[in-house]
Amino acid sequence: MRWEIRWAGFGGQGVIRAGEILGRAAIKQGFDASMRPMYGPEKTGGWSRADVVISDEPIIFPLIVHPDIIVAMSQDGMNRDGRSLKKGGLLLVDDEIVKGLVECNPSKIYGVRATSIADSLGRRIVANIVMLGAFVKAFGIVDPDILLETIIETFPKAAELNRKAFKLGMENVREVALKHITSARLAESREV
Amino acid sequence: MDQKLEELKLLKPGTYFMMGNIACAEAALIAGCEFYAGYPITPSNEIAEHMSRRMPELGRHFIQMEDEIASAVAILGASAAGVKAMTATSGPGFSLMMESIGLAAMLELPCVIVDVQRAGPSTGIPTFVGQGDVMQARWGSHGDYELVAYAPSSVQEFFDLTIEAFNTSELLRIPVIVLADEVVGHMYGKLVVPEYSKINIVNRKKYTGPREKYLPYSCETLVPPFVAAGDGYRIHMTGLTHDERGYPSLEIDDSRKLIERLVMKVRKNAKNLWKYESYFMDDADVVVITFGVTARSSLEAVKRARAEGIKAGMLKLLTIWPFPEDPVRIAGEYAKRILVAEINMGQLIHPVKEVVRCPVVGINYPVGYAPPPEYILDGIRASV
Repeated sequence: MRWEIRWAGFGGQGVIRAGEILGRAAIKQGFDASMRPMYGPEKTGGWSRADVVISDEPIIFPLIVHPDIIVAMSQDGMNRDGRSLKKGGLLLVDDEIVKGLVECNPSKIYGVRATSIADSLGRRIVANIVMLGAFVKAFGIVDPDILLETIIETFPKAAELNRKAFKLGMENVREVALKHITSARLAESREV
Repeated sequence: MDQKLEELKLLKPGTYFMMGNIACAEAALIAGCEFYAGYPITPSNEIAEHMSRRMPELGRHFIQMEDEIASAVAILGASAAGVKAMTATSGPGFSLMMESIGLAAMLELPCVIVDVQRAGPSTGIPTFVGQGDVMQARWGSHGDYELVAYAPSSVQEFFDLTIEAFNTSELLRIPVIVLADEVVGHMYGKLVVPEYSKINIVNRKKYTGPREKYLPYSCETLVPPFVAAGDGYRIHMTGLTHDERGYPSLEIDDSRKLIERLVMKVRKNAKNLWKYESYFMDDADVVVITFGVTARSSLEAVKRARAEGIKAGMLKLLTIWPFPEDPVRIAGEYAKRILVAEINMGQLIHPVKEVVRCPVVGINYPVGYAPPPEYILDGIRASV
């Protein structure tokens, strides 16, 4: 089994870090994994993406063309990457920020208000950890305990904060419905 | 630093999920790199960033220079002083280092230059992938010299080939290029660090004979034994054509002996330097020859072609220079057609054409993007 997961957002949200943590947890669990970060020349505030492949066989091609799952943390990420979703693929969004679907028809949409939840904990920076909690609750793939252990190992000084963020992500993810947006800044999007 | 203490601070044997660039930096530390000089450039930055933290921890030296020209010269200075030295850069910086790569070849100073290729020419797309420095790695500096260039296609290979690059540079006293690419550099993947006792580390051969008999550029062997500046021997290094003492010479014999030696030390060892991997080659009618990230797409494509009943095979080159002529020639003797897949408009295809007789076709993908397997597969389908 091979899972292809694309995290999309903007630089500073921690999508690349989330992708790295997810991949590392998968390796710990005995899977093969790869993560390819991509970003524009601007880094913070510019577009940002992490393509994670998790497989129970050695990964030959480490990149992603049509992901099984897209995790969108910004509308811009949705505009840019939504169309790449595999037919019948799954979507997880920060549904307070991502207001609509752009050229994609997921079979299921999960939402979690990751940024608000992170704000309620006093640190917006943990929105990606909320998202990881929501991810593992919605899709499984990796063991939640191993994922949390990996998060804590990555940020040993902020263990409590991240544990809370992760837990709130798991608790607050639910299925949502999103409308289609057809016009939204599509001209700006480019195929990558 | 005490060797045992030092080992404690190196990346421990085990399994990791690591970025290619960081794996390269950690490999350099294990290989014994004592000096790093560099100038920041995407997509190689993580190597310098990581080294700037790790080198002081190990009591070694890191310096950020004012540009890539100075960086390349600084590592030559360190090498002349007897330590293993490296730098890392990408296309635009690699261009600036060319003059010093020729100097390294001429002075026979071992050093490692990592080029994490990005889309070019010129500034290109800094954060996107390219494979356009294949010919530059070989022919970028003027005059006759040979060097070695390795091309990793995974995080593990980036780690292994960085150690290999140090070993080869020490063994032959030459500059060695690690020709990575943006995907391999930025990608995170599985890395297995073996027990240190299983990692081969080569150190340059030192001269230990009487002082008055020392000839820094002796032609007795292809690789003269080394003496560091400051060891107390009389040494002289110059980019001018020199005699065995290292002094400038206009004599035809000195020129012939020196240049022949610079070239032959690599050519005569070529067979030992060739690293490559064959996939499905036993009965292949169409063979994809490729390297770097493109090899990852190509292998997936070859597997899918096999599933369709096409007798496809693949040759992944880990050593690009000296060009692995024998395996490529043999592939060409049995295959009906050879495809060369690369993210450029056709560079590796030239040495391939030089050694095979069957038709050779390029599969070229727009610079900046890694080809999906479908693209290579279309090329394979079109060739049968």
